[in-house]
Amino acid sequence: MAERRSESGSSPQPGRMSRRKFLGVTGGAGAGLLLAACRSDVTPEPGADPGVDSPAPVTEPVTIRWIDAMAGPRAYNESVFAEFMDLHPNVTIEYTLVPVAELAPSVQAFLASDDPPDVFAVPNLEAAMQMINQGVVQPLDPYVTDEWKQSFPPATFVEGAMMFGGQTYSYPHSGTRQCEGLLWYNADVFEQSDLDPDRGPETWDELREMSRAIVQAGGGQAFGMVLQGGLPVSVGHLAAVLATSSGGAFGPIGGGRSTIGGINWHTGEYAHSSDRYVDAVEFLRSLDVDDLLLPGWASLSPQDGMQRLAQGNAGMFSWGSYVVGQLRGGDFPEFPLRFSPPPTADGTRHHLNTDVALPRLMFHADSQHPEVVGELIMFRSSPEYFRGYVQEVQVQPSPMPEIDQAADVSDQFKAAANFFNEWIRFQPLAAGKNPSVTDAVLEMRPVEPNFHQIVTAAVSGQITDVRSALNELDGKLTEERERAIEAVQAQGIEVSVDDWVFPNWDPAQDYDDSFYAEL
Amino acid sequence: MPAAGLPGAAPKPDSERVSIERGPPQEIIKGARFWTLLFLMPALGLYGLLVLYPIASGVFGSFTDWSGFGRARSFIGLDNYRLLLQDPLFWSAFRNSFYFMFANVPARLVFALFLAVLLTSTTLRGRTFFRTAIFIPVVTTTAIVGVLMTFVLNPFNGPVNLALLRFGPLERPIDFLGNPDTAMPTIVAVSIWKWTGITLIYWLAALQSVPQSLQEAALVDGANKWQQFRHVIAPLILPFAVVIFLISMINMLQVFDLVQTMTGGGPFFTTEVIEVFIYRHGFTAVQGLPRLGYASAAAVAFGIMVMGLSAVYGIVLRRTNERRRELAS
Repeated sequence: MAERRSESGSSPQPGRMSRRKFLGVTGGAGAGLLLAACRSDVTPEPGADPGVDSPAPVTEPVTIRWIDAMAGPRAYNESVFAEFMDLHPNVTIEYTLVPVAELAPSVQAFLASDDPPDVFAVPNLEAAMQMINQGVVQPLDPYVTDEWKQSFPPATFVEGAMMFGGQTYSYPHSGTRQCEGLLWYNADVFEQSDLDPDRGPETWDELREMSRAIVQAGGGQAFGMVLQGGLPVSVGHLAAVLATSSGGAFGPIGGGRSTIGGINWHTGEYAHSSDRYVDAVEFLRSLDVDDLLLPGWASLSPQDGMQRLAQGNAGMFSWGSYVVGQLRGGDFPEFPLRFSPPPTADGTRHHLNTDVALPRLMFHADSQHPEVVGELIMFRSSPEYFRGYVQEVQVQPSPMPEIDQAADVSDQFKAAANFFNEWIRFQPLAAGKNPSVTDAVLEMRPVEPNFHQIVTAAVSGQITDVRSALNELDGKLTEERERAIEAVQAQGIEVSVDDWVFPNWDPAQDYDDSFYAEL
Repeated sequence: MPAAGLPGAAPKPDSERVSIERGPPQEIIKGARFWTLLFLMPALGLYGLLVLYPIASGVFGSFTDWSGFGRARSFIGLDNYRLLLQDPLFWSAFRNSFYFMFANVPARLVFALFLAVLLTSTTLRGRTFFRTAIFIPVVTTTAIVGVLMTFVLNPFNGPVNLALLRFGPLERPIDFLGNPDTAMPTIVAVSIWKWTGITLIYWLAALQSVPQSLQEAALVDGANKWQQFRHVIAPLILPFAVVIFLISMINMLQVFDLVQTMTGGGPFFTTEVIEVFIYRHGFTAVQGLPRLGYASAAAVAFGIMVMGLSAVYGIVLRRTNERRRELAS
């Protein structure tokens, strides 16, 4: 992995052609490419000129297997795949969605089989790194066009994230500039509690007071807020968002994996125990102590939490933009959902920081029809696709902000998307500074309990001294990173703790190529 | 010369000799063995494929660093075991597994025995109905039971809390599964409800093995019901108790689906048993990469401990069987 940084093209202009016309154009191009592929019964080696040494034609139908793990877009993706199959009658797409919680064992199972899918979702960045190292997946570059790559915004294809060794291994399936930890509320519950239904809490104190008003008016049937402790990462994200929005905290809100997150990028040190993080956790704990949280929150899933919000048993709920699409698509009672930016400690808002686009859908190295897969990937990630994805699904924003802004979506989804664009910035990536960091990250073993588990336990009262617990976490992570770096250095790979230091980082700006160049 | 039949006596004439039937010829014995083995081969093959091979694969995997994402794995010797022994969450899961087992099995044994004795009473009407009703939870899917119980025990409008608040002394609901003090006892209670039926069946079979004549003799001697049980029935069913305990112990040490669906090992690992620990490390990617090698090491280590326990109980079983034979003779 020698290449350091990639280049990215300019931002695309919103498409003006109709969906059908666009599909016809891309379909025609795709048909041409497919015809070229069908002239060969031997898949060209990656990087080879497909026009050289044209072999005999393929006469049998092509089946592409695509496995993803995301809630929400099943029907939309099925319709898009159906359109592709209409354009290419000899192509059959087998599309499978697995529950997110079952993605890891599913990937283990089908990679152990002799019939892996062509395209599949990977659970996280570490999994992608390992698969690339082991040659399980192959780069997209021979099978996608430069125009397609340039249709994405700058900082999309970043070395150490979507690109490794200068080659592209994945692409965005949704917008990266997003976070969990948003605040959603039920306007009816607010109104019944004599609160302004058009205004959410702007500060932590306001959140507490509004919760108290909801409890007092609720008669035991309504509580201020519901958390989803059954998914500790959600509670951890909320604490991180509250902390980072209030300034003084450095850490990821997108990833949060203990092996690569929670870092003060100015010093390279783990910073989970910084004051604002502790303050945020203690604030959430105080809500539980004051009985302002829905009882039993510690074992609720996000779907349970949304159900409680919809039924009016909780006035407020925290999660990502998924809430809009999931409430629309699921079996929930109708209610006036409202979005509110995460409250800050004192009313002063600071930018949130997240990872750049990380790999999710990857291309198996043994795929028998890479050209078709390449065409399908481009088809399923065009601006038209994302426009439809945003409008019809409303679960996550698209990678192209102008599409989100022009899309015909609910006011609440648009408000969340606008918040993302205004307040979320990309943080540095250590592998972007030194690609060999990947080896050190893969060498690191998980540290438990992790940040999210500690936060959830602290909010529920099982951990009484959260500062000590987070201090201990930072200490263990530091120790583990040092061990991993030493192990990797012993193999002759040049990595050091300095690779995690970015003295020129400005949390209010995207850390892009220009900042890397200054180092 | 000694009399006939004594050592040193004269041999009997041929007409008085008893002809001794010799066994079948060696060829027939070999033939029988061949066909026996032939018919055993499918079962042995399946046993090897579905039991021995996974065990061997797991043992081998415990010496590797492997995520399961791809076939490549690196041999790391005893590193997984070294890390395991230093992992406080492994020992926590170990303790939780044995806590769950010891809280569950003795209580279930006693309760099921009590029910079995009641159900063998000839004066009790509706025995078949009660036997069926107690057994129905056994045939339900454990994972479904776990999910349902999260609703039943929910502190917000769950029926148990509603009943306790309305008719009981509670002023605020109990978060049965979210409170570290109540989560494990709650799972134990649900498990006892779920599995009492099968233990009941074991006990009913054991009670049927007690000779009726002994109980009648005790009755004739003036023994009451308790004395009959204490001095006649209990000693004779003791070997069954050991077997039932062993079977139940091994089953409860392998609990997974009930814990995973009710609490997922939470809150904060307080209900995480070994099987959940293994699953979390081997098949989830919450903390980066799954660690199949580490999970295998945990499985092997725990398996060795359970085998050790089984060996101890084997000794106890042998001794109780000897005692039963003494009592019955």
